[in-house]
Amino acid sequence: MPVVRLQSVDGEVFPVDVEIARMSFAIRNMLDDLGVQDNDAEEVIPLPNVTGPILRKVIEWCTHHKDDPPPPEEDDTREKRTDDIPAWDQEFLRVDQAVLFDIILAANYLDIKGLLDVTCKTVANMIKGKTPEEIRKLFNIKNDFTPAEEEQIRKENEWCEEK
Amino acid sequence: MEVQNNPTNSNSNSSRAENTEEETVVETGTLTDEITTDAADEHLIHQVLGIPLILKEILKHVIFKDLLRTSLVSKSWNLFSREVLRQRNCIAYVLTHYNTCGSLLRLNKLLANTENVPFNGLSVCFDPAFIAHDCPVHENLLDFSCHILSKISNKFLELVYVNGRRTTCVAVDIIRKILGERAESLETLSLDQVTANAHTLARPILKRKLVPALKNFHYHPPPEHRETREWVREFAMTHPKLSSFCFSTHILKFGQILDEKISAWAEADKIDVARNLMRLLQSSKDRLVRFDADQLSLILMMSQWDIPVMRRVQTLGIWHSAFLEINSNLPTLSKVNFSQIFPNLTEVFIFNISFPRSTNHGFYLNETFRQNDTQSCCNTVRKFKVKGYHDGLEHHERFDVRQLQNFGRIFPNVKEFIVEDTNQFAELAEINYLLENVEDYETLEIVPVKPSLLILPILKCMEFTLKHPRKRCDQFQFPSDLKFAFLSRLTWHFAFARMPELKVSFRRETCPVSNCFLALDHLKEFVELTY
Repeated sequence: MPVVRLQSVDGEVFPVDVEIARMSFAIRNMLDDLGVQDNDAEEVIPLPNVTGPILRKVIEWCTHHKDDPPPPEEDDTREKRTDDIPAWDQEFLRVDQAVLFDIILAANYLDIKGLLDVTCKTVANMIKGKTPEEIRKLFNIKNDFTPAEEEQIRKENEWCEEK
Repeated sequence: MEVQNNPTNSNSNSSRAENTEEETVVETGTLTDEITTDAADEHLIHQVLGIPLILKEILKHVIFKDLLRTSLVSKSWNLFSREVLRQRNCIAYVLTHYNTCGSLLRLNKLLANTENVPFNGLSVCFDPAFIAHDCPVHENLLDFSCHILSKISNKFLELVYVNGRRTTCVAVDIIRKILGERAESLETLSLDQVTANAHTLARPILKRKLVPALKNFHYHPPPEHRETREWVREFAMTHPKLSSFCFSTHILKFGQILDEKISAWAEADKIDVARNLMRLLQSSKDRLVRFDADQLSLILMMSQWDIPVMRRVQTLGIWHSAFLEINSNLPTLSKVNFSQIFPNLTEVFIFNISFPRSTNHGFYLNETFRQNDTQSCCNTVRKFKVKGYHDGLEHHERFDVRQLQNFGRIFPNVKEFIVEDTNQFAELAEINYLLENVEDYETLEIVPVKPSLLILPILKCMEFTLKHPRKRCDQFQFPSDLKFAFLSRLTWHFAFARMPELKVSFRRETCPVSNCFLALDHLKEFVELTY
C-alpha cells in the first residue's frame, strides 16, 4: 500500500497510507497539486497547523473510518441528529475539552468532513439543555449584550415556532 | 500504520493527546464538559468558536429550543444561531386571543429594533370568535407590515382560519400585501380552512404562475366550501413543481368519522378533486417526495389512473382511524396495495384519529380487531411515525397503542418508530402491549405533547409525594390531571435513562403489590432513589 509522510508542526513524521491521507480534502488537494504519485513514499507533506499528538489522533480516526461510505447530502432545513455518534467515536472523543477543540481545529484545517461532523456533534451535546449563562461559563464566553439587546432577543424568541 | 517519532521534538507543545498504543483514551481522558481554566486552553476554545464555519457547524446540530438559548450567549452566537433558525423554518407565530391585526402591528414594531431576525416566515391565525373588533383604521398598511416585509424573507406562509369562517380583519389585507410583494420568495404555502378569501388572497400567486421557488403546498379546505376546490383547479393549472404536497379535507374528530362526513362529497366532486390532485402531482414530476392526504378513497381513485409520479413518493402522510379498519366499508390502510401504488415508500406518518379517552375502547382487544385481515403489506417502509390528534384545546384524542399490532402487519420492516401523543401510556395494559410490539425496532421515540419529564433535560432534582389509593393497584385510576403529570412505568424508564444525573426523592406509602404503579424499584438502575 503506497504511503505518504505527514509532518506535524513540531516535526513528528507520520507515514500514512495514501488512501487514508486522502480522506482529508486539504491533503488530497496538496497531493494532486504537487503531482505526488502513489508510490512516491519519500514526499513529506508539512502540516504547519497541527501538532504531533493531535495529528496522531486524526490519523487514528481516519484509519478506523477508512471504509465508511461517503456522508449523505446535507439538508440544512432539518436539525442534524446528535444521538447517532458511534460507540467507537464516543470513546475516541472522551478526551479533555481542549483536545476536543484541537481536533475540531485540525478537522477543519485538514477538511475532514466526517471528523468535523462528529466533533461538532459532541460539542452540540455539551450545549444541550444548558442556559445561556451555563454555556458562557462552559466555554468562558463574555456576554457582550446590553440588557436592552438581550430583552429584544427574548421578545423575538416568544414569537418563534418551528415548522 | 507505523508512527515515526522525531526525537528532536519530544517536548511537543501539547501532551494532552499523548496516549500510547497501550494507553487507552478512556483511561487517561476526562469528561468533555469539565471546565478548564488553563489560559492556553481558553485561548484555543475562543479561537475555535471564533471560526464562523465551525460555530455554525456546531449550531446545526443543536435542537430548536436550544437555538433560542444559544442566541442569548453572545453577539456572534446570536448571529449564527439566528441564521440556523431561519434555515430550520423558524416562523413568527401570530396567534392571538384579541385581534390578528393588532398582533401583526406588535410584531412589526418589535422588528423595528433588530436586523437579525430568527424568522423565515409567518403563521397567521384568523379566529372570527376573537376578532369581532373594530379594526383600527390605519391610512397606511405599512404601519403593520414595513419591517415584516423588509426583515423576514417570508419563505414560509401559513394561514389558518379557525372554524373556516370568513374574516374582514385588516390583517387579511396585510397578508395580501405580503403575498403580493413576496410571492417570488415563497417556498412553503399552507392554507388551512381558508374559505372564500382564499381566491383573493392567492391571486398574486396565481398571477405569477405560482413562482418557481414554491416547493411545498399544504391545502386543507373546509369540505363544505365547494368554491375552494375551484381554487385548487386554478392552482393546478399553474403547473407548480412541488417537493411536498398535502391535501386534507379536515377530518379532525372522531365524531366526523361517525357522521361519515368523509364520504359526504358527491362522486363528481371527488373525481374533480382527484383530477386536480393528479395534475399537481404530474406537474411536480420527480421533485415530489412527500404526499399527505386524508382520504384513502382519493388515493385509490388516483392510483387507477396510473400516475407515474406517485410511484416516486418516499414519504406518505395519511389520516387513519382504527374505527374505519373494522366498522366501515370505506377504504382502509390495510387494504391499500402499497407495492403497486407507492413502491418506493420509506417513511409513513400516520395522523391518528382514535377514540376519546371516555369511550369504552374494550373492543380494541376483541378478536375482530386483533385478527384483522391485512390484504397487503408494505415491505419498504423503515420509519413509522404516529401522531395522535391534538387541537390544543379540549380534544385530546389519543393514539391507542393496541393498533400497533395492525400497523406491524401492514409495515413489517419498520425499524424506527416514533409516537407523538398527549397520552403517555399511563395504563399498564398499554405499556405491556407496547413492550410486546416494539421488540423489533431499533429506535423508539416517544414525544409527549404536554410538558413532562421527558422534555426536562436539565432537571437535576425532583421530589414526589405519592399517596397510595388504598385499593388494588391494578384497578387504580389516576385522576385526569395526574395522567399527564405522573408518568407511567415505561415513560419513567425512558425519562430516567435520558437524565442519568437526576436525583429523585419519594415519600410514599408502602404497597404490597409487586407490579404496582407506585412500585419504583425497577428504576434503581437509572436514578438514585431516596424514600
